[in-house]
Amino acid sequence: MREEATTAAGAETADIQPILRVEHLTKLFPVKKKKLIETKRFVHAVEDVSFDVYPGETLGIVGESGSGKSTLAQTILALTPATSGEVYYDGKKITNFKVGGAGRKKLRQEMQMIFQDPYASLNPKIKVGDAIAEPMLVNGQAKSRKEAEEKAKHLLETVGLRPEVYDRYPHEFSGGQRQRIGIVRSLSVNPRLLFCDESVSALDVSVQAQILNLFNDLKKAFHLTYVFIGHDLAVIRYISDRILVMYLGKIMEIASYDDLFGENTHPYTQALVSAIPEPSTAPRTQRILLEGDIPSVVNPPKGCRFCQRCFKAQAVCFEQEPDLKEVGKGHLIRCHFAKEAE
Amino acid sequence: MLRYLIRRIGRGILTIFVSVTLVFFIVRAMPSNPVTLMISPQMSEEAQQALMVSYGLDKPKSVQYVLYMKELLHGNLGTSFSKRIPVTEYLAEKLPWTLLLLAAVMVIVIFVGIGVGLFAAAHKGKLADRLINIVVTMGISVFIPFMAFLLLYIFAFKLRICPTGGAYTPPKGAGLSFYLDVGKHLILPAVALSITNLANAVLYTRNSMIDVLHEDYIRTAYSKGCDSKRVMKVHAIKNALIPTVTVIGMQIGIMVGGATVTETVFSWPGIGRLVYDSVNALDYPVLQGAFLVMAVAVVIMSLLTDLVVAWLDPRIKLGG
Repeated sequence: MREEATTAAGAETADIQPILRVEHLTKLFPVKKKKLIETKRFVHAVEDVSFDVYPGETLGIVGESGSGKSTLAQTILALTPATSGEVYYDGKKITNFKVGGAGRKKLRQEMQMIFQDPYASLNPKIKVGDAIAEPMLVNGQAKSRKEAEEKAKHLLETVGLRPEVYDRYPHEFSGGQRQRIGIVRSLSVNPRLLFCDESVSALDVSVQAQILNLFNDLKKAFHLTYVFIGHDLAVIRYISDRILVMYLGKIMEIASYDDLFGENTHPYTQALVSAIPEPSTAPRTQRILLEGDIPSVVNPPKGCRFCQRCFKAQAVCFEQEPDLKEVGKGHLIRCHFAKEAE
Repeated sequence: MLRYLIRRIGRGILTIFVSVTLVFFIVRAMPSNPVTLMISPQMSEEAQQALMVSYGLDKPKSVQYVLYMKELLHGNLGTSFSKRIPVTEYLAEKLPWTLLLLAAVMVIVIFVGIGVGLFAAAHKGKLADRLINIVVTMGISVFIPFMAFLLLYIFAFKLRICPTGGAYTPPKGAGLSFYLDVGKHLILPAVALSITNLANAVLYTRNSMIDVLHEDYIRTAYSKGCDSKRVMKVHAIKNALIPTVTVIGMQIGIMVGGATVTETVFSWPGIGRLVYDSVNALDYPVLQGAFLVMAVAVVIMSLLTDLVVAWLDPRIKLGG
């Protein structure tokens, strides 16, 4: 895994076209008015988010609940319309998938998503085999039902499920098996870019490890690029080459694996890193405990988004919002106190 | 599956038995008795007594009950007090008319109800949905006999488009013109009887469709590349119809027993009208027969409903 991290970092410098580029993407949800006269207010789910994803890498997106990670992925995949900002895929503008019919089919095929909840995201009335075959038939990967069935059975074997499960219903499977079915479903159309939205969060720790290893194996076998979303940095770091830290709808830090665990990082990242459990009996030295909950996304703080909970916060943090500063090669931090590159 | 069916049928028979027993004693608990209704004061004491004996009403109730159950097991429902014909024959004459009315109601409820419900769900919160909601609320709360009279007044009396009552214009004809005539007579009672069921079907379909459209697997379907038409057809509707099917199924069972008030208002010659006439005539055997038909229909419909729901939802295991 780690060797790949360096190749991905190398790829960035070698001027390789990003497979996905997100520019100033914003998603606001209107808040339902409660009083008769009330100014229209919005939930700032995703605000001014820009980043690139390079072919063959795994980009981890981490942040606590309510930081806008899932909304970000769904907005990119046009499952919910973007308020503003642009998304480019292979250099072409694809915001809200507003492209011609054939182009949209291709996008739906090449960009797939594995959802958070393996229980709710499978239709209980549809046999898993049909659920896997459907995208192949809809997107034209398979000409006939028979061909789709063969492909689906083959894929089921790759993820360690017996092909006989084709004719069963989702409720007959355990969480881990269902997640594998979700993976097979997304792989069935030969995607290039796979969004994994908290794809292991709903699973037991032992099953999590199996599925994560499966993700790594599949990446090699199918030449995939991942955007891996999670709230658990311990999981994200296991699979990611680069990591994007989100807080309250904004990017706090983008860093390679090595940079993220280095000295110069965002205070929020430091808190997340210190929360990773370590398999050691030595007393934990500097566990950073964040106080309070994530602030209201309807009225975000005036200054830095993180100021109310930051252990480094000064007066300036409450007044002025810091910019995303480049502190090293491909390493960006949104903090007044980040050491800038020389 | 077979075990399940046997168990369900056994339970159904028990339900029917209990209902028959209750009905038997309830009709006999009514004040007055059938003989005093039909005899003239000039009739002698002996003649009255003879009539009581011929109806079997002279014996104690427990003996009457045992005799009745014995005959019932042989398929004999007794003889009507007022018409002097076997009850089975009498019911067989009325049942088709009720079933015809029921079929018309079901067609309206299933096609219009589910259609409008899906339409409202697709336009949730928009003007059309709000109007439908208002109409549905009115449909649920309206007093049906009042609606029946209103329809009769407007369409039969004022506009004279529809006949005022009955199932056909006597004398009973044959061929196409007869069917058309029956169809014309069918419209008003069917509409009156549909109102509440229709409103329920719209409400259940709309609400469960809205719930289903928020499910994660609908998002999954979109991400697979399905267009919204396919998402509705393949993924949403089957899930959304379960509550509607349950409600409609139970309603059918109850309605086989006849819609007493509606059938009476429109003089529709069905079971409901029969119940009304039999109560007036204190015709015990006919009442018992009519309620038996209703009990059997409810039992059969609830079994059918469960089977359909199990077919719609593979998570339901038939075995409990």
